[in-house]
Amino acid sequence: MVSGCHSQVGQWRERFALTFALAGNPNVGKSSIFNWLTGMGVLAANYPGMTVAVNLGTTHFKGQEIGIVDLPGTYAIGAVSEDQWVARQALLESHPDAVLVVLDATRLERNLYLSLQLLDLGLPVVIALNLVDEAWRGGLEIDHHRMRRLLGVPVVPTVALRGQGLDRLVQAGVEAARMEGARSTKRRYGKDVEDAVAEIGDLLAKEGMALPHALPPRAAALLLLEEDEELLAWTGALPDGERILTKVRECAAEVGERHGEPASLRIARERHGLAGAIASQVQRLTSRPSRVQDRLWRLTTSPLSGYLLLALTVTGLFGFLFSVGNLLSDLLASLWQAYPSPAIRGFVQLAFGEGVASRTLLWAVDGGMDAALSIGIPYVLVFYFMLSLLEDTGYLNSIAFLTDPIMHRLGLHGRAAIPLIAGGGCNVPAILGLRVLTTMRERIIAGTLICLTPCSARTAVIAGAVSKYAGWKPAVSIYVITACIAFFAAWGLNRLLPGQSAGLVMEMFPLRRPSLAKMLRGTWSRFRDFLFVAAPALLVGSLVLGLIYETGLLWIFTAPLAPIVEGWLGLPSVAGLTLIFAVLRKELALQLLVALAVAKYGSGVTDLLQFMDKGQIFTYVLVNTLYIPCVATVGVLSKELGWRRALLISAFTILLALAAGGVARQVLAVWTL
Amino acid sequence: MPDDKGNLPLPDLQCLETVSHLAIPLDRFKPGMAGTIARIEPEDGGLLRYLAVLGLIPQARLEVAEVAPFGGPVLIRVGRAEYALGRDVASKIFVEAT
Repeated sequence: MVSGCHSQVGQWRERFALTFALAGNPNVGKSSIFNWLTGMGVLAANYPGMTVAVNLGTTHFKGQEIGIVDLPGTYAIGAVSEDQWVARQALLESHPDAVLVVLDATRLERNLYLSLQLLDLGLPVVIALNLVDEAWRGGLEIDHHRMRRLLGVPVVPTVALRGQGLDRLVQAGVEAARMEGARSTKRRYGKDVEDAVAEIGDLLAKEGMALPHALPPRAAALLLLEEDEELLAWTGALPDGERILTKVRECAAEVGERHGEPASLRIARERHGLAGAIASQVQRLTSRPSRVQDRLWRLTTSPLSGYLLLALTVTGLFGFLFSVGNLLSDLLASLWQAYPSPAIRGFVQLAFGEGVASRTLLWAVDGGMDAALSIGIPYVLVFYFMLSLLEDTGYLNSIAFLTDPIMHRLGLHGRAAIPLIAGGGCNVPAILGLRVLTTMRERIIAGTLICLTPCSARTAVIAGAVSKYAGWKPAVSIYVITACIAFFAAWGLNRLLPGQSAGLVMEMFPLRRPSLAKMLRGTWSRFRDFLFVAAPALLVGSLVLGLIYETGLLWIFTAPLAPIVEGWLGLPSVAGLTLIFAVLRKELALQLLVALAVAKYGSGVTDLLQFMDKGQIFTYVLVNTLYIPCVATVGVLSKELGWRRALLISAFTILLALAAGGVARQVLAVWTL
Repeated sequence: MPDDKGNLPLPDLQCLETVSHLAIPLDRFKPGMAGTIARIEPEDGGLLRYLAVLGLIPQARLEVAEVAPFGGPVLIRVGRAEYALGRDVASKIFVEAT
């Protein structure tokens, strides 16, 4: 794959005299270290076709500015998965002066694998032994001096959450960068592997060519034995490439024959063996770890208690979302209406008079803001906070574990449950959360499912129209119908789309005590994404629709819509217009329905039942729930999946909504509510 | 044990053959059972390499901590780490129970 990001990471690197890369397994506190070092000013670099981003930031140390390249959390550097590929590419392209590898002290054995791999690449490594406090609480003592001697690189114990040890970490990085010559190229594996590596390395060195990414010959030889695609392709293109590749195959076959497994697997095995040996030499169990946390965690994954806890958690979360969200919504809306709104109205009317221009502008700056404050922001903010809580405690993993069977039938796996749950609050963050899924196939299926998940705005319409005028049973049946349609849509997509779903392979972490500071940071970084994507779409959309409404252009759409709205769905034509408007924000459908009804039928028509019957209200809300989520959602959808897929999904939901609406009308004609 | 040249002895192929016969797919294991990985179905090189990174390689010891109902994932313990493996992944890992 061509790396279009070369310029981005490469240019970043050129801006600083010193650049560090930050590497580590997922969930080891790497982002905490990154946040501590760089503050909030973060730039994300993307590789084309990849959704995993590389964060770029800067830190200051003794008057010097240091560039930090934060690699995605991975178990290894390679090409097996998207995150590994991005990590590998950014690492090699950034030519870091030092690589700070963050290790989870409680899982040293597995974590050391990545450190050894980075050492094998000949990179100057500094180890941040993180979560030492957690290890200590679990009765695990780690001799970091001994670890330093065994690995031959600096080891700095850290507690990233509290920023402990980070000054010394940066200091060690600066020192490691200075000792450029002292990069570890020593032999560490079995004789067979090392002999093969030496033989290939010598051959490469004799070629006299500069190796890609300035790799030392030993590193390149190891990568060739590990069947690294980039290195194989590079070697093949050399004038004498075929001879070298033949040698590589010979050496690999010899190792394979002696050990009864492919050379690449043999290297992985020896690396694991070494990691295990180092871990057992440096760690000591001082006391039996407390079983309470462990038992609690077991409860969250064991079948009986697990599903019960999941049901309680989801109910509790939605209860929290609606109660706190409502409270915040009322508060923000009344604050807005009390002070800024009258001021803005006054100002706009003073500047632009009372005409169409002024009223159009007010749609955006007053109406749009009002909606953002009363619908978007409160629910999204609360939702993100809950998501951070689930994430920080580690309960999200248990949710993924429990929901995997059902997700599997839809061509997804357990990790998709997380964005789907998010979709119940707001589709926008849910779609941004699709990044946890590794293939485009999974993202398309999950993206479609999310679009069909009623968000809080759609719930507001269901509650305000169906539940209010037709009772709770039809309201609940809207959810049931939507859930069935979504399930079958995903099931069908799973059958239709080529390829098959990747299986679940997910590390499970015991429950952790959440940190409020970390949760707030997580909430804010997600919320910022939402603000930058959704808010502009909302304001511009409000402006355009305000213009159509205020200039009376709106009524032009009545006639072309009539066959669908009146003929097929059996709804009054104004209802169709509001459905178009609701593309902006789903809850607008209801507010506008009343407003337009007043405009068309005269004042006094404030009760929906005066111009629609219960069946029509039901059909109307069903269509509103199913078709295109909203402008902001389509915006992020095209950002994450590409505009073509976003348009296809949107078109699909429109057809689905019309089909469901038409069927509902026919059924309701026979079977009245 | 490695010999004086640092080489590990060749595995006894006869013995490996027998082991493979006794090995059963991991998705048929029950919670509390433990074993040693005998082989991983090599149909998917990517998966094999991904699992290798996590330490899931032949001769690695693992313990089954939990098996989710309704065809859900298998929760295994390898060293101090735990992984959830979907049934389809687990069915490709053949383990000799101990």
